[in-house]
Amino acid sequence: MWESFLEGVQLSLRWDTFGMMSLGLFLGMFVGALPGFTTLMAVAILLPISFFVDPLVGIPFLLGVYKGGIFGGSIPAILVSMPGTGAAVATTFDGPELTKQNKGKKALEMAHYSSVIGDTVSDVVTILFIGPIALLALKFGPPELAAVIFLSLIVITITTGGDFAKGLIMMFVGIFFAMIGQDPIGALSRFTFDIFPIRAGIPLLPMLIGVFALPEMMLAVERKAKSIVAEKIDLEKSEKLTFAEFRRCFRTILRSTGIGTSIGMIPGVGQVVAAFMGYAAAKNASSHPETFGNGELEGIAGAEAANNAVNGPTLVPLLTLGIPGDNLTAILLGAFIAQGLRPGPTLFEEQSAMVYAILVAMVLANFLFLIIGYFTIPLFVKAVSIRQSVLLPLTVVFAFAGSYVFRSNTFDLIVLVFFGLFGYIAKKLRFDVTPMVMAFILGPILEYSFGQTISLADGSLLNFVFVDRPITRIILLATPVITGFLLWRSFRHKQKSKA
Amino acid sequence: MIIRKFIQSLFAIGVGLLMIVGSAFAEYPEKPITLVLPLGAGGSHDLNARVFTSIIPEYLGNAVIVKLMPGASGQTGTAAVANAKPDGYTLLFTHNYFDQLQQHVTKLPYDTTRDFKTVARINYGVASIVVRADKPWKTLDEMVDYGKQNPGKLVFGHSGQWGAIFVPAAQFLTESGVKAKFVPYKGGGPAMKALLAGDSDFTMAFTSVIKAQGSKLRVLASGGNSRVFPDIPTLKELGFKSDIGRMYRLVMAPRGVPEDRMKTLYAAFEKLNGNKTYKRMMGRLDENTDLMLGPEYEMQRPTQSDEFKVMVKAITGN
Amino acid sequence: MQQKNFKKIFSSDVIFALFFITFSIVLLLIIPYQVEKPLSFMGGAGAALDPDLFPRVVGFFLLGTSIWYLVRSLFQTGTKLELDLDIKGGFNILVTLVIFLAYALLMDPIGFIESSAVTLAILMSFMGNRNFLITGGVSLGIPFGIYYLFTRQLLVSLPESYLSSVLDKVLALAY
Repeated sequence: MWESFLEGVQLSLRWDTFGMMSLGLFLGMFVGALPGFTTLMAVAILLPISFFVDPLVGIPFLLGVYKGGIFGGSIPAILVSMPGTGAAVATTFDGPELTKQNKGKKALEMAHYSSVIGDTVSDVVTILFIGPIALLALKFGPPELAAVIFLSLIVITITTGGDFAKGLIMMFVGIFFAMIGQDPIGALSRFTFDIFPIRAGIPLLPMLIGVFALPEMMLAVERKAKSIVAEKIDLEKSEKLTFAEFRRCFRTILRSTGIGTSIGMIPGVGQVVAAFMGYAAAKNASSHPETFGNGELEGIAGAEAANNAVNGPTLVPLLTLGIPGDNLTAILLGAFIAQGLRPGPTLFEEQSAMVYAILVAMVLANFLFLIIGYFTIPLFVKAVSIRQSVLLPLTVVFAFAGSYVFRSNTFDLIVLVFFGLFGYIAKKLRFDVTPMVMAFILGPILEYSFGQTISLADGSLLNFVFVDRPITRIILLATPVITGFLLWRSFRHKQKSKA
Repeated sequence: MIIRKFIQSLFAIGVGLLMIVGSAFAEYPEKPITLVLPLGAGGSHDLNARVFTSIIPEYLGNAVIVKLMPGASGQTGTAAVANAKPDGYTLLFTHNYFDQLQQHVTKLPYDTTRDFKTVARINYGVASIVVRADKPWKTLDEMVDYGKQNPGKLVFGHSGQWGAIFVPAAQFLTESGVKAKFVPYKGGGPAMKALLAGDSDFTMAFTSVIKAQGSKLRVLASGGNSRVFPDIPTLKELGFKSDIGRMYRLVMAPRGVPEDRMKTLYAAFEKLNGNKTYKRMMGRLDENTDLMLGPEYEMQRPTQSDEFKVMVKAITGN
Repeated sequence: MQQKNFKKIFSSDVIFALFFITFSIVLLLIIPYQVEKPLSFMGGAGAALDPDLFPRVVGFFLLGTSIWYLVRSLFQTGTKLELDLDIKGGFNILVTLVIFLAYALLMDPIGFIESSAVTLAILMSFMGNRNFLITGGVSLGIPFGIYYLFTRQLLVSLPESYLSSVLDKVLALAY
């Protein structure tokens, strides 16, 4: 193993590899920053370029796009409260608030450094423990996934700010929205009222953009439509991140990296949950949780380190089993195959140097990412340092264009406006929309994996879950303990702040 | 994107020269053609489309843009093309199960036979029945016997109801009279993972997926008319009657596209099939390039529909 | 005095609790009509998990939580949540919503570039931009830019129109 690792290092040290990887990072960051373009789309669009170059140039190029794209999605989340992907939702809790306080640059830099650290550590862990991670991925079937998702939903609802009852209501509403359309298992229609566009269900991106970006705009307009003109947040003059601030967040970054890496090992969970769990853990560990949601740099660090830390381990099932864990690695699989490489046990045995070269390239990509981000962040900052009365209308046009390109459908624009209004009302009434969005994303996964579990269990669900599946048993037994602990903490905190 | 731009501009110069030579007649296609995929990113259709749309512009003189419109088990994208203007600028990249089977299991907002005309069947994927290598069954007969003796015990993991793995297995199970337990997975990858983890007993998979797993799998039988693996019999050889396990990848146009435009498209696909890069890339994907042009494929559609109807009836009892 | 009492009971919390209670009851009532039944399958049930199980669970839990929320809001002491929206603010929101809706409905029929230009111009003027050079420049230039970037470089589609065909011709000339 050690020999093929060294061989892999040698293979990956090539100028053209570095060049294309940098290009990939750069393009990924820009495409990811455009509303409506997910990392997935960025990789799919740029995939054909990799067909015509050497595997050790083409694959690292796509990996660059992947990494850059995930960070890119956080840029509009911080600057204009528009999450590019589900993974950036947790970044909108503190990012836009920091921008309002003229600390947008700090927030972006924090996001950048946490992403790089999270990514690097998780890549190294992946290289060291590739075997055990592959084994775990194989052992993680539908019942385990269902248990993890169930636990995540509970944690999310308890940790989001505000009222527990309101959080629960929003969570159920989110699951309801996700049920509109077709049921995940049999594709049978639910709550469609025989209207055709509804059959495909509510699209995620227009909902995200609607619920997070449009209300900001509406609140600004409501307050002072006519006097907005001169207002301008001059981020260019805002301060840079200080070392003291970075040090303060370092524990959070490490914690979130751990969380993200562990979640990345579980196939089917992904960045969205990781970012949120990283955020929730940072808030829970903090001695001042009330600053979270009001512009807390630690919140950015917690979410961003976690969602990038997912990247490394998600590649493991693809490289070792030949089975992509999500849509994104499925596209990478295509790139491998088009190069004449067939990921799977055979590739790993016969060409392990090549596999290591790709993994090493992933680590190196992070260093390039550190440099490229340093030069691109000021560009983004500059782009939004214009008058509010120009920036806000532009945000609206990007929101609409971004919602449209996803499926090219007018219905999606109506969904966008509906959720804009929904988000506005929720904000006015102090309902936190986060449990709704998370339940919307996780609800179908829960229903699907629960349905699979029932199919597998063949009538004796409890016996199957608690006796045949030890991992599920552990997660299910831990659930009430974690729930109790979180409820107790939030209750105690409320008592404290009252006193 | 720099490379793409470079290719694009080379391309544009070429097209420009052609236009000067060929005078001012604006010939179809004079702008990019949109190819709608009613499926998600990263599946085999996506890959096939990425390959052929990167080469076919050579013969069409204009770009082909891939547009992914997943949702409602393919109905969203299909409906969009059914309602598009039949001018040859919007095409659909689909497969025979969406085309002829879906109408028998759910109510569709369009009629595929009435609304679409085939441009070409670019190739087909062949699914094979696989089990994990440590299972006791060496041949398909042994597995069928086990299934008959233990009704409902054999676990079959598939990639989604009425999909490309579900349908052939359902055909095979109905014909052999085995009652199996169907467990759905989100796509072929997860279904394969379940097989490797031992959660399911057998599944069906396409050739490239099977080859990647090497010695971890045992193939019991393949679909199609000729052997995919030299030592593994096809279901046809084993005496199964229906056309099992072939997923045809189809490029279709809304009905009503002018005949001369259709001819341009036929010609482009025919020339594409002679392209060496195309053949090499498809070979890497482990896909064949068994092209069948629209007019010929059209004749198969009614037969397919009848076969699927009988099968659905046998399975669901409706 | 009486009015104050009324306001005390019907705070927005109570109104929304009642709304969610009604919503969940309606949800539970329409499930039999709005959830398709699975086809039977090889003589057995079509799916191990009935597609109406999750809707029912969600309906019941939503009802339960809303009742808890209602009871709590009724007996809550201290400050109550108010909507805090004055007439002028309400008017601004209404105008914005109408603009959004019009934009959503018109983008496909009149084209991306045209609808975006109009929306930008209206929104910028509504927010008090009086420099018509900036307003005009931004509202024409940006939509063209986005259209070019999205459709030509990123290969996704936006609604076409007269102006986009002009752009196509200009680009064709430029090559």
